[in-house]
Amino acid sequence: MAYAPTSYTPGTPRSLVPDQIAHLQEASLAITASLDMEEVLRRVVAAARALLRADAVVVFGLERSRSDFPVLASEGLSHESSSSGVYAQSVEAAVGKAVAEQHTVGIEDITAAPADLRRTVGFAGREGFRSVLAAPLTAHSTRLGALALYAHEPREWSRDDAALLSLFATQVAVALQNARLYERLNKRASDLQNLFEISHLLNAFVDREPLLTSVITRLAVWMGAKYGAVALVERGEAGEAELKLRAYYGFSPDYIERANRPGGISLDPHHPTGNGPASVCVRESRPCAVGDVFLDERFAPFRQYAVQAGYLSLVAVPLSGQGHMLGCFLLYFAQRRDFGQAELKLLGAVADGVSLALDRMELNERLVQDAVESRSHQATDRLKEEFVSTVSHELRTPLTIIKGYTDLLVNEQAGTINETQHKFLLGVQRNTTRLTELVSDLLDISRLEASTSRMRRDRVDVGRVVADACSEYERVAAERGVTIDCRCGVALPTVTGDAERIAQVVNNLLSNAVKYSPSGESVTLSSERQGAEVVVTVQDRGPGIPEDAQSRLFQRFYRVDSSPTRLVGGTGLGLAIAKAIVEQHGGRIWVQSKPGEGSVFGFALPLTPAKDSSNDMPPSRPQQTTPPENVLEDGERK
Amino acid sequence: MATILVVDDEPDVVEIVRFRLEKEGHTVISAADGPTGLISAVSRHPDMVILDVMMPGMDGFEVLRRMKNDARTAQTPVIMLTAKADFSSVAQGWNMDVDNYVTKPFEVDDLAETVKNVLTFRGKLASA
Repeated sequence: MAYAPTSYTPGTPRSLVPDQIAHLQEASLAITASLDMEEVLRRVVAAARALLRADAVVVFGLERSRSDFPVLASEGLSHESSSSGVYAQSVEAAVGKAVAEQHTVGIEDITAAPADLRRTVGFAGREGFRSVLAAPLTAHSTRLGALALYAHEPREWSRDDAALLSLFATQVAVALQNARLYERLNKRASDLQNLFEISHLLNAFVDREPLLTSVITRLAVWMGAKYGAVALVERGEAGEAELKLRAYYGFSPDYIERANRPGGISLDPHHPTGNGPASVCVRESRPCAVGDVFLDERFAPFRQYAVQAGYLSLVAVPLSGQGHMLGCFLLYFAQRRDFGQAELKLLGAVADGVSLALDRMELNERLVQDAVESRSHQATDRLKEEFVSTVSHELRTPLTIIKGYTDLLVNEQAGTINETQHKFLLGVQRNTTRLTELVSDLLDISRLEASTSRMRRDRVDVGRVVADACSEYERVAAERGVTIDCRCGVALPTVTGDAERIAQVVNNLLSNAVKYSPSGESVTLSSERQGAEVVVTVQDRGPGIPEDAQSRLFQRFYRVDSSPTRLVGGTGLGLAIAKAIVEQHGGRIWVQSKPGEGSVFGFALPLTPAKDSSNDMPPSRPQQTTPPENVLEDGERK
Repeated sequence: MATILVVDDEPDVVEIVRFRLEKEGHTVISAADGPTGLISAVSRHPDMVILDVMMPGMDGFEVLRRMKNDARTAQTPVIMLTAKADFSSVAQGWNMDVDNYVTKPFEVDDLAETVKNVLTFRGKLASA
């Protein structure tokens, strides 16, 4: 009897009896007939055992991460060794040698091995085998394992035995390879299906928690996890960043409640709970996997939780929003587990989807918030306008009455009055007028400032508006010894807006200029086209405005200095209203002035866009259609 | 001289207008709301109606519309008393058959002048 392992060179069996051919055919058939790997292996193993009259046949797999060979299929082994999950703890030299050297290797009598090699015969010895013949399983130069025959008696394996076993091994290798490819395809298909379903879920929810719960549940079931959780970055009571479990699968609510206590899952690396997989994952923005909670020392402080909940491995995958970490999701497994790159990549894809959905929800919330706020702004504006409008009507009625009685008295309709009474009554009259102006200016400005205010959009001939203002103020100006020099472009292109409002601006600027002009001076009013705008300027030779006051001139109730007020009157709202009107028309208003040298107030309004003149609005006053540009400019120049 | 109906819910406004127009020699009758005004416009045959716009219940525009739709009052001259805002918002788009309007707060002398002009124009005033 010999122990020495014999290597067999590849060859073909010299002669096959019909019975052997039938067994070989059965093995080939098995491979083509089924895609179920276990079924294929069972049939091939049976055929090999019958053909080669072995006491046992074992298909050993090969896993890179292990130092032993798992039993994939067998016949003739004791229940203990053949049941799934029982691996060959140590395999006799023939199997190892066959895989290592890629030859069929036989040993006639294992028990004849030298004493120092005895420890290697564990598997065969335990099963009571004395002889072994092993062939490597290889497909496309990938080592997949070995196919081994065992005999209870010492047996000298023939060249034909080796050649036949090698044939079977080829068949088994093909079957294994096919099954692996098929499994991989299946896995990929089911991964895609799962990803597809999860991406559907991502869009199916409006609220955050139901979304996260349904996603983590789907994910845990897909991955075969015992528990799942989604941890989100939130601010604790003291403002410190913490993770809170906001959705979970499998855990009891008590467990979640404990984890969500203040300081439960800290993000601070110096905090006792700050270095768990979730915290590390979020802090470093990369997946954090613990393949075995008892082997991974980083997990040592948290082992009690694993023992309590009954999990052996876990993985945390980061959820990163735009520019900030949202949190992570966690999957916990009852078994030890290797998390491969492909799997982590897949989980990363899910995490990307979840992050996007969370970002989208946050954005939605903000948009809804903004919409609510803007609606309430509009409502406030409307209320304000209604209020001011009501108040000004209510004020106007008593003003009308005061003014009416005063007029009757002043005009001596109710009997003669003396000079002092007349003087006092004029004071009442003057201030009634002032109050009336103030009320109507307040109404104006509140309307202009309310976003609800609607402006007419007619085509307006600014030249005409300016000319009208000139003739309107000529008399008032003359009373004060002021002349108005009107330099108006006769046929300016139109602007789009409200003629009455624009007239209000011109009148305001003109009445100011007249008011502040010393007697004997003139006010120059001009309107002309400058590029795509119509520009109106009003120049006076009044006292001028200090530079520091110019920028504040258009503010409500701003006055350059309080003394002229008594002399010139006014509400302090005129320029603010003018500015609001001009800006509502898309224009701008300005002032240029030097103390002692007078002031120029101007405003510019954009011309009606060319397309408007042909499509949108038929000109309301056709006689004012725009003449050719050169004519216009000639008309303007002086 | 003419009989003038003043429709206004403010007694003081009625008083001021009455005082001034009686100085001109007119007879002034009054109503404190729209429905009463309409009844008076038919039953008292005024030569002119001075109508306030802002009145509770039926406003001046509604009174005007009903007067114009009633053959007995359609030809009666009407002067509207309005706050300027009422007028520009409502009247511009509405071709109202009013003889004139006076914005509040008004000058009593201006009102008297307007009344005189309208009556003359409508041939209600024998003088001139």
